[in-house]
Amino acid sequence: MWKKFIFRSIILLMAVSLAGGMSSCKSKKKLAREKEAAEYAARVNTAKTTLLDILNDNTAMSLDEKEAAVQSIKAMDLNDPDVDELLRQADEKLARERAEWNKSAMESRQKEESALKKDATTMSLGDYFASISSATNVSQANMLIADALKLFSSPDAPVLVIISKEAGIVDYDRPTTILNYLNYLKDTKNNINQVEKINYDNSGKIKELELIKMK
Amino acid sequence: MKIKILFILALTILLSNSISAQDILSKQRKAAIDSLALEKVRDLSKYISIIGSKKTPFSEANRVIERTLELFVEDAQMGVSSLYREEIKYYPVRKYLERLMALNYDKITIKWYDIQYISDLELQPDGRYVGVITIYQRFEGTTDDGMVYKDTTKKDITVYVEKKQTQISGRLIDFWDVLLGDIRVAETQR
Repeated sequence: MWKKFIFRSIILLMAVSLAGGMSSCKSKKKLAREKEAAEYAARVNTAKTTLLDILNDNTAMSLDEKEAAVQSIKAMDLNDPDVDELLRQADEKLARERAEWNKSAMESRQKEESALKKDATTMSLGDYFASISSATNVSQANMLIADALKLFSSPDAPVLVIISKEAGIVDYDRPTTILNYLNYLKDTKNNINQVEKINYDNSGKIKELELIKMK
Repeated sequence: MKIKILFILALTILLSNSISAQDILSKQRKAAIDSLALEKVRDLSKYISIIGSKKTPFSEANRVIERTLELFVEDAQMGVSSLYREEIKYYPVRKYLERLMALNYDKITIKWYDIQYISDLELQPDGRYVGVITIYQRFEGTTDDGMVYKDTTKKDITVYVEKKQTQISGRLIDFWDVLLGDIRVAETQR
C-alpha cells in the first residue's frame, strides 16, 4: 500500500514538475518573440528615419556615407513595404547625386588640367615673347618665331590686344595674327603685352590668343 | 525757308548721331587710346630705322615695308627735306620707304625722339578722333669714302583713330583703329 502511494506521489511530482517546466519554456519563447519583434520594429524605425533623413537632405552625411547607410539597410533585409519604398526612392536620389558629383568632379579635374596647361603654355609663350624681342639678330629671332608658331593651330591664328578694360568695357587694338605679332616683337622689341586668355583647338593647339597691355 | 530749316535739322541729327555712335570715353579709356596712337608712331620709327639700315636683309626690309604701310591711311604722304635744298618733297609712303631702302649710303642711322602730341586727339563730327604728333628725326648717313651727312628734322604726323568692328571666330569685336596720315616736315636743322 505504502509502496503504491509513494510510487503515485513520485509520478504526480514528476508530472507537476514537467508541467511547470513546460509552462516556463513557453513564456521564455514568448518573451524572445516579443523581444525580437521589438528589435525588428526598432530596426524598421531606424531604417525609416535614416532613409527619410537622406531623402529630405536632413543629414550631414557625405554621399559615400549615405550610400553605405542605404546598403546596410538593404543588407538587413527588413522585408517591410514602407522601408522598401523608401529604399527605392533613396536609390534614385543617390544615383542622381552620384551622377552630379561625378560630373562636377570631372569638370573640376578638367578645369585643373586646363589651368595647368594654360600656365605651362602661358609661361612658354611669355618666354618666347621675351626671347624674340631680345634676340640679337634676325636669324635667331626667326628661329624662335618658327618654334613658337608650333604652339598655334595656324600662323594666322588671331591675336587680340586689350588696351583698356574698365567697368566691363574692353577696348582692343586692331586685331592681328600670331605671325604678325611675333614679327612685331622682333621688329620693335616692344614686349609690353601679357597673355590674358588662350583658346585651344581640339588638338590642343592655340587657335586664338588674347593679350593685355601691361601698365 | 522751310527747306532751309529742314536741311539744318537733318544735318544736326546726322552729326549728333555720328558722334553719339561713338562711346563716351572715360579719362582712362581716352588715355589708353592716346597712348596707343603714340605707340604706333614709335613702331613707325623702328620700322623706318630697320628699312633704312644697310644691315637689314632685303627680304626683311620688304616685309617691314608692308607692315609699315599697314600703319597709314591710303594715299598718305611723307615729307622729305635736305639741308642742301629749300624745297620739301612729298612722296607716297611706299615710294618714300623704297627710296629710303635704296639710299646711297654705306651706313644709315635714323632715330626718332621727343615723340609727343602737339594737338590732342579730338572727336570730330564724323566720329573719328584726330590729333597731331610731333617727332624729331636724327638722320646720319655715311658714304664708303667716309663722308657723313647729318640732319635733324621736326615732323608733324596727323593721327586718325576710329572705332571699327570685325569678326573673329564668329564674334564681333569692336576695336580702335589707329592710322597715320601725312607726315609734314616742320623744320630741318644741321
